[in-house]
Amino acid sequence: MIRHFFVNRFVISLVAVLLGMGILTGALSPAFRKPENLGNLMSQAVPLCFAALGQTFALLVGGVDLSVGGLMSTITAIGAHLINASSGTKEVLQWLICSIILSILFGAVNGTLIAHLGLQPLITTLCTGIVGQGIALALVRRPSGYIPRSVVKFLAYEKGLLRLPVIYLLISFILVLFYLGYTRPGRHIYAVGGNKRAAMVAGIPVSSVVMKAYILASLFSGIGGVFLTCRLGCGDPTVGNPFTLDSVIAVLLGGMSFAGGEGTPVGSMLGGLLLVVIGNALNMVGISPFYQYIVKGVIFLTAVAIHGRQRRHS
Amino acid sequence: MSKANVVLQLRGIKKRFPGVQALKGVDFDLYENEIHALVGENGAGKTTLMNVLTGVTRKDAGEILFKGKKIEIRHPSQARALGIAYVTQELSLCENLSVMENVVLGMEPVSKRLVKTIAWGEVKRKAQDVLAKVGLKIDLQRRVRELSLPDRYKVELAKALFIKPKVLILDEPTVAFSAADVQHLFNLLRLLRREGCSTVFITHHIEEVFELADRVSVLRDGCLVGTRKVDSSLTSGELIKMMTGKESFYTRSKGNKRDKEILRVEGLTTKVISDINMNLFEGEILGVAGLAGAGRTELLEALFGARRIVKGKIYINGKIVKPQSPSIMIKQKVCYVPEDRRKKGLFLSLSVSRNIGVLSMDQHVRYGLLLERDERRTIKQYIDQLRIVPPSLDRAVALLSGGNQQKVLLARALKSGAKILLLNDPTRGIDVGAKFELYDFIHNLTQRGISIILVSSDLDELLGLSDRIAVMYQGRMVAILERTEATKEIVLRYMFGNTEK
Amino acid sequence: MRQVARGSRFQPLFAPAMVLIVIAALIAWVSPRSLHPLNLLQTLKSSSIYGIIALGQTCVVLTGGVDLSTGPVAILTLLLTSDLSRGHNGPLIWIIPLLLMLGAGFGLLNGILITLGNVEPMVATLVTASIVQGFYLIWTKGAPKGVIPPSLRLLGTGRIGGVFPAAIAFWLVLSLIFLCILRKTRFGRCIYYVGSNPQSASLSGINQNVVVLIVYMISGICSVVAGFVLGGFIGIGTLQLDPMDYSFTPLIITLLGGTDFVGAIGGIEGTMLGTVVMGFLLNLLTLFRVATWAKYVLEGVLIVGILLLFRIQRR
Repeated sequence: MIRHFFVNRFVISLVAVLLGMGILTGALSPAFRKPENLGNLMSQAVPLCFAALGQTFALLVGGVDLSVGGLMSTITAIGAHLINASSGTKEVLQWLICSIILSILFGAVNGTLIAHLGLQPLITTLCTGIVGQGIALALVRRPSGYIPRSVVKFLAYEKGLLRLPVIYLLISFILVLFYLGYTRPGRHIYAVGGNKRAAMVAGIPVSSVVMKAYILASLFSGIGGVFLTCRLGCGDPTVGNPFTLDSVIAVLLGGMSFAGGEGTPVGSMLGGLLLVVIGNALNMVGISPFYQYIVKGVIFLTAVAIHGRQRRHS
Repeated sequence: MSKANVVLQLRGIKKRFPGVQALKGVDFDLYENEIHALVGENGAGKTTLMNVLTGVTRKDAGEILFKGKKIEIRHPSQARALGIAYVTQELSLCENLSVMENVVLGMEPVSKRLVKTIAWGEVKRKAQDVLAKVGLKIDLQRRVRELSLPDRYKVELAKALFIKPKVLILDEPTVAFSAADVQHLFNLLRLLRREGCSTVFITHHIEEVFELADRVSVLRDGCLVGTRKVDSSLTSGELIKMMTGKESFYTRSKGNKRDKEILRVEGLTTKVISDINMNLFEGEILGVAGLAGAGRTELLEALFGARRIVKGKIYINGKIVKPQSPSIMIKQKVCYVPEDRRKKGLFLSLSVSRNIGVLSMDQHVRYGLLLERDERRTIKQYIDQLRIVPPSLDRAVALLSGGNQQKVLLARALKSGAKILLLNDPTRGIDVGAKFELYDFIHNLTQRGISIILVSSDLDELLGLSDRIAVMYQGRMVAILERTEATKEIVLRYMFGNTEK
Repeated sequence: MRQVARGSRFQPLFAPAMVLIVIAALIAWVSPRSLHPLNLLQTLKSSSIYGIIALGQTCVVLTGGVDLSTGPVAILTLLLTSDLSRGHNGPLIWIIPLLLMLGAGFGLLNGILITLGNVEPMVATLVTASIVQGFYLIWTKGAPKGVIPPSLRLLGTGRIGGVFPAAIAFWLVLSLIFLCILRKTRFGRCIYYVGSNPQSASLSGINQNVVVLIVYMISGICSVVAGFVLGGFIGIGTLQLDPMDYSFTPLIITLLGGTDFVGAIGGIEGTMLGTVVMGFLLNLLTLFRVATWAKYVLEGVLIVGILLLFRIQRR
């Protein structure tokens, strides 16, 4: 089963592209090759990869989660409020608990509206995201607060190539792999995404499964928000916005489809990594960050041309 | 046979859909250890009855007793849990999952450790067992989407058998099967009968009833006509009479004289069909028979410009025509009425008026704008002519009965001024009364000079309506028979590829 | 497929109309002065820009798609008009056609991605949005230049007869044109056919891909037009606006107006109503002297609430 997760054409193409890009950039820019940069790169990828992991669940059940950005911003904002330079472990734990509860809440709201009340995922998560944005703005009007690295050491300790966030990411990744590949609820998520009617007839509680998926989606986005905050060091009401689209593009690059039931967490993570590498590579080669938008667009278009993405039929 | 135990009893089942009373108080019994055939025309209510039994649809009235106890089934999974397995015509498989996962779907065996992981080894083993029973040798890890239709059906069957059912319901299982597969299935059902599982077997094919069933129930127009034991005292004639309520079938009054050749096809070849040669005369009905997959739909769609033509020439009224797209053929006054009217023909969410007018919008355009009043007036004429019920232009077409929906499609074709109609299974899913009404109407069309190519799975319909009958087999046209020389046996023989006279 | 008993084409308007009445009642309760016609018109002014974009969005949603690139295209128009004209009316002669073609071009890109590339509309248009954003960020290098010429300013802030805001009149005229196109032309009908059942449309001789392509081009053009009005409103090119606001709000207006992705239900009438509803909604939020953050929260909650109401009504 796990074999399928790793050995598929999207994963292979992504690995090939990543290697190719890495080598090319390494050749063009010595700064890229430095271990600090590579380590930095991995840390930078953590928030997006968590978001991509979350988005995986949403797309697997045939939906999407556009509230990622709002949720992540809110978590940084909460962090700015609860933590300051003199904070100790207690405050950090408070913040963590708050963040997790908030994430689950977001997911539950999304899940209820989509699974039980039958609203369309696109507009629903969009609205939840807007609400999230509002909450973030309520907490911090502009980037503010100070969350020193030292305080969140047990989350984000970094020295050389040892990066705690990356380790947390890998642990989560393995847990998700296990969940989706070897447990009943995980496999049921794939079943529901593949054919809702068939799943229902087989006795699978479709609404519960979809609800679970959205809760997991928000949970992982939320964790991404936690690590984003650690990297950022402050609360910023709009910092999460790019992550919404980026997480969608990451999972699509990784082989997911809006039709549902397709894709692996491996692909999603690699997709997220690729996007971050592009950003980093462009930087190292000296291209203005504004060009990132265009490059990302072109990469996506190329991927479409090669893979021929399947469209969801309403 | 001694007094058998009744495992399933349905009493007075009623079900109404918008526009039609599908079940009018049906009773049905299933004994233990029996294979019970359920037959009837298209639209008689067989599938609806089974849908009600298995919780796919809610009944309006009536009761169900399972092993003597009254039960209420509100959800398909409840039926499965009780041991009633249902294999529908449209398969419900998760295409993105593997064969073995589909077989055990919803009941995946888990390990007894603390963390309940799926015991893949056990899954493989159990799936293997039941798939062997069903006769499918295949790599269990293959995705279902890669499988052919007959193989998918077998997976669905294995899934049904996995729950060790007491009652197995099969809805037209042999449609996609080869002869060998059919025999294997029959043997399987006999084995299940010995093992204590009864089967309800819905079929169109009377031969299957005689070969397999212990008893047969006939539905007609939403009512149970009767239940008979299948033994030497039962004749197919009797069954047919019960199914159709008529001694004979529809026979068209005199066809038209064949003088003007309106359509000529030479060497038509696409990906699916090869070297089709045929012609069509003005006012003629040319029937096309063939098994599923023989290429009948492909032929019609190629003639309509909806398929890519590899080779061949098409002449309309003597002039050569290149069917590159439907809009070109519509301009040539050719109109296609597709076989799945809900999915390919109608615009369900739009009104009757919109559905009828889609091909002939240009008739009412002046200075770039559509004159709706003018259009509505003309459409009303067609609604009256075809007796479409209810005669409202603005009603959503989804709310009409099957027969009226088909009339909407015919009205659309007529309004566009079509001279050549390509009809694909027009009476599928329509009750008998509406069917005969349509037959009369189709005949009247030919009297007005319209020529028709009629594809149908109903041989009686073809024999009754056509002037000539063409038979397709594996993409080729293997015979074109005159009405006088065509009998059911001869046509069937050609349909199965036996081309000796 | 949802089975809607369509008694008349106005049936889907019932729900948005109800919502409008409720909101109007709330406004009347809080501040009766706001219901004065002049103040009402003021309310609609900012909403009309969203409304113009929503006209194109309606056509897109009717075919079952969505266009999220409208915001960036509008902002692009704003920035380029400002920069290329530097406040002079003259250059508008070539600026306006150029930008309209540019908008159509981006629409064409969307259309091609969706029809030939088989990309989900949401993703395709978000990618285009990304590219457009990148494009104008690079162009302006983060520092917008120039000013909006007076003739456009007149469109944005002028009043006809000293009373009726030109922007709203413009929106009304455009809406009526769209109404005419969708209800009274063959192409408008084709939009509904394609949205209701693409397969049936193909078999009825309608070229599905062409319809979809054109519809996205229309959306792009609407975005550019809205950008011109926006320029007239603000007077100067700026990066302070949130581009996605001009993508999401028109979509919300379209949905509030009763138009749905599935089954080609709804139309311009609803969108016009939706524009008015949105105007009142935004006004209501301002009246309650609501802080920016609360506006977001309320907007999100209200929209979900309204969509739920629609859903209950449709059952």
